[in-house]
Amino acid sequence: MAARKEKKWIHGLFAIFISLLLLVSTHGSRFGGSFSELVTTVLNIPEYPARTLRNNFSDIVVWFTARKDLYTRIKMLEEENINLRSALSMSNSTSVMKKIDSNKTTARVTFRPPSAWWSECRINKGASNGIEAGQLALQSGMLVGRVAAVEKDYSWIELITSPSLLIPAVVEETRDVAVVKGDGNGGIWLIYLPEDFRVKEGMSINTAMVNEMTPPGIPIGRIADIDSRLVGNSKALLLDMGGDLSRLYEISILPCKGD
Amino acid sequence: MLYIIFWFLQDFFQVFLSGLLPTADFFLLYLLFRVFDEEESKVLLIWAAFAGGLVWDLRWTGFIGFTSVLYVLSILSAEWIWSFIPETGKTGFLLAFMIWIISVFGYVVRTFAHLYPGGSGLDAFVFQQLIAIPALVFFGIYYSRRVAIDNA
Repeated sequence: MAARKEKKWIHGLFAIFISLLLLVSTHGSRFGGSFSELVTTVLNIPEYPARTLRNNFSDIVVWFTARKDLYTRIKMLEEENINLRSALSMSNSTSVMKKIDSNKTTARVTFRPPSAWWSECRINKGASNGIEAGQLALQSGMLVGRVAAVEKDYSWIELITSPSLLIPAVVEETRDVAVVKGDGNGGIWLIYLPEDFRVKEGMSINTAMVNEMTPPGIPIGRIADIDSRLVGNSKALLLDMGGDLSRLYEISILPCKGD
Repeated sequence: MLYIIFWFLQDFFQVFLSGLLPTADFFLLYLLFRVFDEEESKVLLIWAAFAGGLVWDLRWTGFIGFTSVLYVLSILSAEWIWSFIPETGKTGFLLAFMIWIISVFGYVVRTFAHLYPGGSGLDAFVFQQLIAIPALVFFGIYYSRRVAIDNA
């Protein structure tokens, strides 16, 4: 047992000695390099699966990395696109605002509450600009509402689509007098027509003379459909509005007769 | 045969992880495991360590003889330390712990000598120890079972 133990230590020390000898003798020598190359060449064969696996793994990693890069780039371009669109839109809005403000006869819509979208809007002209309650509001010459409240520098317009706004009107072709009323959902109706109304589709509806604030002949729209329906307790005809309340940016206030 | 298998296992990981992280010294772990086998020929073990270390140096480090010294020294020191432990204290856990400590010593020496193909550092060290865990657990359990069978 002791002999075996001794032999083991001798072998160990001898192996260490040879290793150290190799370490010293081959360090920087060409022999060591060429022998390393030979071993590498031989080991290339059993290492082939590991190398193939590694290459495939690298390809997968590269694919995922490229995909991530692409995704990041798309996100970046999307953000850039949004910013550019926003800048363009801002520039358009600003130019529209300036154009409206430069016109003395028109007022700019400054606020339209979403909760009362079809009922009211605010304009940037008020009592200091000579605006009075009851004046008619026009868009490109078409009636779109009436001044409901006036403050010093701004006013509130009650839109023609508001259910509480009633405007006396006349059918241009038949001279039938009725009233235009909004339904609060973007539509306007001609109500209080006589029982034997003779109107047809496409006939023009204008304001009827009621007071100084509401002169006759202001176009409101055209009859869209002659099938009468009931709005409240009265028969009503649907109208095609002359103004476009979905593109309401500027409003002209019709001056009073005495102005 | 198992010496060769463990050497190629180590080489496989080294090729696969080349340039990223160092592999665990599976060959050394197996050599150390064999040290604690009373029936194993220690002379064969020493020369297997020498040969394995030599080929490893020829393939990876370029310092021919360095890993051989390290492996043979690890075997001799493991044998020497193990001889001081009483028979009742020789458990699977202690065996795994000793293999681990000696392999860590090898890692430290090679790190200081800048001879780790695949990088060094804390992350490399942690990774190396993590992939060595299954082998250590297996050796520990195997030894415990053998002790249990011998004592039965």
